[in-house]
Amino acid sequence: MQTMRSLPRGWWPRTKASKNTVIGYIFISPFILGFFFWFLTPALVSAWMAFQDWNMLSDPRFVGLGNFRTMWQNRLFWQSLKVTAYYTIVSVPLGLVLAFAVALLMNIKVRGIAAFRTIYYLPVIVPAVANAILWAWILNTEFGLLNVLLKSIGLPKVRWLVDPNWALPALILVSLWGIGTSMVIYLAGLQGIPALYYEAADMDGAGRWQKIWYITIPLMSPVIFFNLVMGIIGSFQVFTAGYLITGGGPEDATLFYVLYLYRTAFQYLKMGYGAALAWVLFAIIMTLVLVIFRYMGRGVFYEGASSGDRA
Amino acid sequence: MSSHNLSRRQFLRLAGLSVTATAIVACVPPTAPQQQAAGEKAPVGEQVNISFMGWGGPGESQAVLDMIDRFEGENPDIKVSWLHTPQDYMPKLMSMVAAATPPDTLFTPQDFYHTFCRDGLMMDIQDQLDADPVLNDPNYFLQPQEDRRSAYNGRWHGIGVCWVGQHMFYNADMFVDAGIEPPTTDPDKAWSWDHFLEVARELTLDDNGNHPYDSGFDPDNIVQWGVNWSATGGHFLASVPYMNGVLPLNPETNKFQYDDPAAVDALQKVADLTNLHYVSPRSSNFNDLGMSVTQMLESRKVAMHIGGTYELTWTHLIEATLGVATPPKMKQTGAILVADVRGAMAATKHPEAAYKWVRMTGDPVYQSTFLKIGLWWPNQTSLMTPEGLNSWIDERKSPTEGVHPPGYYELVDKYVRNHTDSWICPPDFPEAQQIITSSLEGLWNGNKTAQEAVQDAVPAANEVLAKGASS
Repeated sequence: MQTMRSLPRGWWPRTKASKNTVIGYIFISPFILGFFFWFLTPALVSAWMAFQDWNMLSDPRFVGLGNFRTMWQNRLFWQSLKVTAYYTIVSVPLGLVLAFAVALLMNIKVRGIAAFRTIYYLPVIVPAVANAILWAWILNTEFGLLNVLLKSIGLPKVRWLVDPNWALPALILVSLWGIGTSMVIYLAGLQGIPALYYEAADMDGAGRWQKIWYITIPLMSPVIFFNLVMGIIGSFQVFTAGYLITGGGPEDATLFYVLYLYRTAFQYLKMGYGAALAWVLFAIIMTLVLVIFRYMGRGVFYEGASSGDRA
Repeated sequence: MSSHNLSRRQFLRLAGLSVTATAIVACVPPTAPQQQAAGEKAPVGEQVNISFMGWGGPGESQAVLDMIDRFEGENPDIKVSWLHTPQDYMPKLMSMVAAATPPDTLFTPQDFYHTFCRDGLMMDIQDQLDADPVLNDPNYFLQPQEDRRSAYNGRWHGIGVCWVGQHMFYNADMFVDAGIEPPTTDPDKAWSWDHFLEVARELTLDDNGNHPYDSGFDPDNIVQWGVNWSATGGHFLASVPYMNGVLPLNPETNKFQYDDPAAVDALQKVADLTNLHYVSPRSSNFNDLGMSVTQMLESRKVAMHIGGTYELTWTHLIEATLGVATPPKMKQTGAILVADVRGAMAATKHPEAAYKWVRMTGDPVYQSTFLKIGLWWPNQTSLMTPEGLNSWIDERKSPTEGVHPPGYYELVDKYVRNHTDSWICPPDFPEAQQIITSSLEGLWNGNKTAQEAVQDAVPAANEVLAKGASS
């Protein structure tokens, strides 16, 4: 369809459809260019770096699979994987359940509930360093609030950040106070459940637990699934707690994978090995997510989806 | 569409295009940085701008700016810009290096210095030093400490800025109240380890006033510790085996010696202060609370403290009588000395100007500024002669008057001169050292003996050093 005016510029398309296409591309170009220059290109360079031995100061040297071999033989690599896996396996389910429980509470219609929702969300916006200092103090063996609390109810004090067996549980505890984000997402999901289901259940005489188990959780399964996947991706990349509170100690008990990567690349200047570590992490997380999608994705019930299938 | 007013569609179109155009201009990166060859130098005689990167608190920063003023006064064609980086120094430095915009001159942490030299990052200044009428004197600096630090393969690539190391600080009032003779700054009269332990026990109390040797002593409720000795890393850790006659790292073999029986014994002795005798708090206690040495000594939580030279800068302000002394001896008393090296980067475009500024570091006036405030010990012998020492030691008479407590002259003249050695940090030292400090955490926390803590860690660390020397 030709327009009335003949357009002077030769490159500007003549049909309305192609005009719209071009304009569309122009509008998304800032993001595309940003993605290309700040994500894709560095990622590809990092993939190249994974096969080099480079310390940023001299020229890179090609080593093939050497970095991956070093990784396989390095005790600290396996230690950091173990620490991170333990952290993920414990903190993600705990976080999911706790956030869900809190969201259920926050969904109760009482006056002032908005204030509670805010309070539960506040820890998320505490800056990482302030968070670290605060928790290092709370978990202090001699003077920390947590041990004072334990002592007051007659329990022995725990050497939280000093005993290698307790340091990781301590950091898992720290992570639990950041459930605000998941809680808010759950809350949004909860409020999307039509009240008529609950009314129908009431008429059939369902108790509170039955309502949660048979209505709430199935209808919330997309949200739970989302939080599970995001939780796994996030907890595999945990860094600030280890870096700021324990420095990876005691005795490497909290040497998270990304902390190990950071040290190797930026403190010991082994950029090539660090890049290899980063790509291995990507592969691990990718595999886990694919596995979860395949095996748990089936159990997610999408209301309104035609192919939705509840396991 | 033929009106002269902009229709909404046209306006949106124009807005979208202009925003996109701006974004594209902003998003396109500058031409990829290339490593500038050192051969590209600015022509001599024109105004030259060099940068100087370093850390330090506000006091040190101000002193640097004062020195820059003086330098620029004497060298009107050179301007020095001070890149004060009190936090995250190494990451910021490495980012600048990776982006091919390194600073011209900088503080180089001693544990990284030889790694930088191996990788060609530091400018070789041996020839300029040999031609310098003052600095080419082999005894201008305290030796052999300085050669061990500033020379890489026999050639200097920077000038060590000073020395700092461990010694004892103590609250003299607590000794008076307890009726105990305090330690001295004379290394020949350094306390034996047993006597030191006895005094520390005497000055350790739980909340019922019991000492560690009393039967009702409660280690969970200590209110006052005899000593604070935290040797978890850095020069404090390095000094521990040195006090038992073993260097932490042997420069001939390029190997850590923490697994030497004398070193193991020394490490165990220091760890036992905390875990066995209860006379020293766990370092995590005070660090986590952000309690400083000043507060520990002032509030009488601690009677003696093994601290570094630089701590005097703020400790001299405590509301108590401050004393300094040598540490107790095992086989000997002593300290491993450390401090950063001031150098120029090899990639600088202004090597002459950079060298001139770096040379200032070897100037007694520069060093005196920081000696006077209690931050440094000298590495220049001219500041350790009787006149030299008296030129900067400012005797402390009260919390508001003076800096250096009585006996400081002897501390520098005898202890620093004769009972110290330099921290030896070969290439890849930071990574190797981390292996050892991580493993030693088990010792300080009372989970492992010293022997257990070192036996796997030391060979692993030595492997890293061996690889580092050859790459």
